[in-house]
Amino acid sequence: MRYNIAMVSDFFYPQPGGIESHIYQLSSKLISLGHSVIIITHAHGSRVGVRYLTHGLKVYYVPFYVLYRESTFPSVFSFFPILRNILIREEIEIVHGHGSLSSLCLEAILHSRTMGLRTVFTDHSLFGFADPGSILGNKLLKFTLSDIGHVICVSHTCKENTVLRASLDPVTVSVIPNAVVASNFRPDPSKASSEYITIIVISRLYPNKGADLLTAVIPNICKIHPTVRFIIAGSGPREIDLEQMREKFQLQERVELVGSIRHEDVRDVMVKGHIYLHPTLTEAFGTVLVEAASCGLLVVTTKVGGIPEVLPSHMTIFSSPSEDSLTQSTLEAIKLIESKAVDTSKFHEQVKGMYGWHDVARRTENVYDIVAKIDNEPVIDRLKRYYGCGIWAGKLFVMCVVIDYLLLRFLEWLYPESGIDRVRKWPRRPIDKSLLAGENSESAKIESEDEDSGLGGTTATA
Amino acid sequence: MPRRPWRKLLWVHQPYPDNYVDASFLSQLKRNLHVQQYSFWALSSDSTVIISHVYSVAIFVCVFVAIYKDKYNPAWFASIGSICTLVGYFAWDGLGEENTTSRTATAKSAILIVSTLLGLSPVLKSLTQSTSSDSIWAISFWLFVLNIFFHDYSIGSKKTFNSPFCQVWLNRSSFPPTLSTNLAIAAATVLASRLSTTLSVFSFLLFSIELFGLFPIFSRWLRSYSFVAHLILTSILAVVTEVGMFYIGGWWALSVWSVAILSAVFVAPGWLIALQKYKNEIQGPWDPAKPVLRSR
Repeated sequence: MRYNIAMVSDFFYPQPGGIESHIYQLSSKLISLGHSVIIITHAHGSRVGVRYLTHGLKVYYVPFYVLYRESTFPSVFSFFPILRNILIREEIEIVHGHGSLSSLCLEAILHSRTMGLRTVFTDHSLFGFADPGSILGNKLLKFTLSDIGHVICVSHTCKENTVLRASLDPVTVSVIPNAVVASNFRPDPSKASSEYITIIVISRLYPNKGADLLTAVIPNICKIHPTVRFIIAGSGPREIDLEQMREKFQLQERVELVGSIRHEDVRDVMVKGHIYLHPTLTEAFGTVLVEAASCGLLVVTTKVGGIPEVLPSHMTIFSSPSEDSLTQSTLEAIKLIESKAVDTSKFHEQVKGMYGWHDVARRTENVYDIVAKIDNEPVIDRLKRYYGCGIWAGKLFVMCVVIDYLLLRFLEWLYPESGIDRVRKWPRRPIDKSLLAGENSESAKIESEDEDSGLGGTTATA
Repeated sequence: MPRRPWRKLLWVHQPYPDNYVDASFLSQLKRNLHVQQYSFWALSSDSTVIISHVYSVAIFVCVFVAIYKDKYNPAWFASIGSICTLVGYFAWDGLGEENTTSRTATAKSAILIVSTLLGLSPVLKSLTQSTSSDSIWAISFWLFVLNIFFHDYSIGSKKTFNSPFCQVWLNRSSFPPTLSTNLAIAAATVLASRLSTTLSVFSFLLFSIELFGLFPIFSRWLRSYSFVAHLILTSILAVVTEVGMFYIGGWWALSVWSVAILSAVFVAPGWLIALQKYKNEIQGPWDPAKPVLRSR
């Protein structure tokens, strides 16, 4: 079954980021599986209208007012007319939204359900339950996801979080991790120094990314190990603390701050190191960990969020989010590298078998198959779902949905479906069978791998 | 071949569907981990901290009504207030509070403030002549409401209450303590502009500065000195307020006021404790971790 899919999110290129590259990679792999995919996002500056990317991936940049950190103004209804036009034009069957902070995505899911389309939502991040921002965000998420077809989360921890936040039935939530383009993260042992042990940190320097832990840990390690150097990429409000620490302990020679780097350059920084240090306090998945392991780095990370699920134990050293524990774990990693007790040269091949975008696209395809089978229920049952969202919120949400239906009727009268041109689809390439077969055999190998078998990633028993 | 048990891992491809829900789902969920149990009497005694400030405001309003209706000589109130202030000052001074300013400097600034007030009183008297009284009552009401909300109920660095309610309150009070004083003085100024003679304006403002500028310092110090003394002071304020309420509004005002205060001290804490059963705090691995740093 081939579908016409619309990916909707506030987060898309040209702005850099994890969700952005996820959407791009997933879309292009879905296209190579034979689906037709478009992306709908808000306009970035002068980039307004329709653009084409590789393989005929079409992007609609809809002009919208950007409110905060690339999220559009939550206007609830104003997106409906243009969205309906695009969805009809492109004969969309499945609307797939990304990112729970994207109001564009949440609105699109609401309107698509009103139009009777199938919907999928991917959650990329973790949220708490206590602070006012989260409470409001969770209520909105609950509203939007009351009538969702299926939800995808990037890790099991993320699934637990989303199920609680939006009061979902866990069966309607699938876990499909992020992936990396392994060929972009090839190791290059010749780039790393043989005299020094180099520790790489690539992280935005925010408190929730563990920048304070990092500032505390570096002097401890430099004091114990005179042959250790640090390369820190990324910027943020805590950058100044790092600079002050560097001056206070006179580590200018040994701690290099390279500032924020583009995603394309991450690999070139990573291959200079032996160890990747990740001091974060919250993380849904941690793609950067997979990238680091793929570059052949031993990963030292705090055991928070979905991180424990991401990499096998022989590639990672876990620590608790405390200064002492993180120092100990890093020292342990340095010892392992110095004594060559761990063979990082095999990491790349192993990671390549674990995470691939083809695999993600195929699993996402399964989700599309599930939602395509769901029949649309009568409007009254849909309203009942929204009514259950809360004593006051439930009534408000029902009102919003009813207005949405009236708006749809009005739009059907104003811009009749017959008056909207249908686009010609980009010519489809035949599916590359050999590529898919290759992926299959790799995943079969991994299936039989045991977590505790150390370096036994290549033993195939299936 | 029996299926291997499901594991909470992403890097291994398991023979389970992506939407598989294992028995261990949400097993790391913890509820109400950090919820503190309130004790009724601790809450009740802490509520007197707020009540005593509400009493000050009520006394102030009674004094205004008394002067406004020309029932009493305004100089009486200023004199009583000044005598109480002097008594309070010597108690504060005598019981070993470390003073940063000398007594002469204090006396100098007191004289300065009193003479400024004396000079300004005729001006203040005509400040809001073009405004209707209703507007003044409304604005002073809201200023007092804000004053009660923004008042600094903390007790400084000396001692802190052990009850959780006060701890929470202390942590939340991020607004400057001068805010509430300014609000109260503003309310006093607009009320004073309704009075008819220069003497009553002067007396009323002097009384307001003593009540809202100096008395909170004294009562905060007294509370940190001894909680029993604070309770005694609150009782005195209670008696004065009830007498005042009776004089301005009769039995009706007195009974409404007493019911309100009693419910704030006894019913509200019980209600808060009863509401605790709805508390549902959720903790799990998705929460941002708290970093543990060695202090240096």
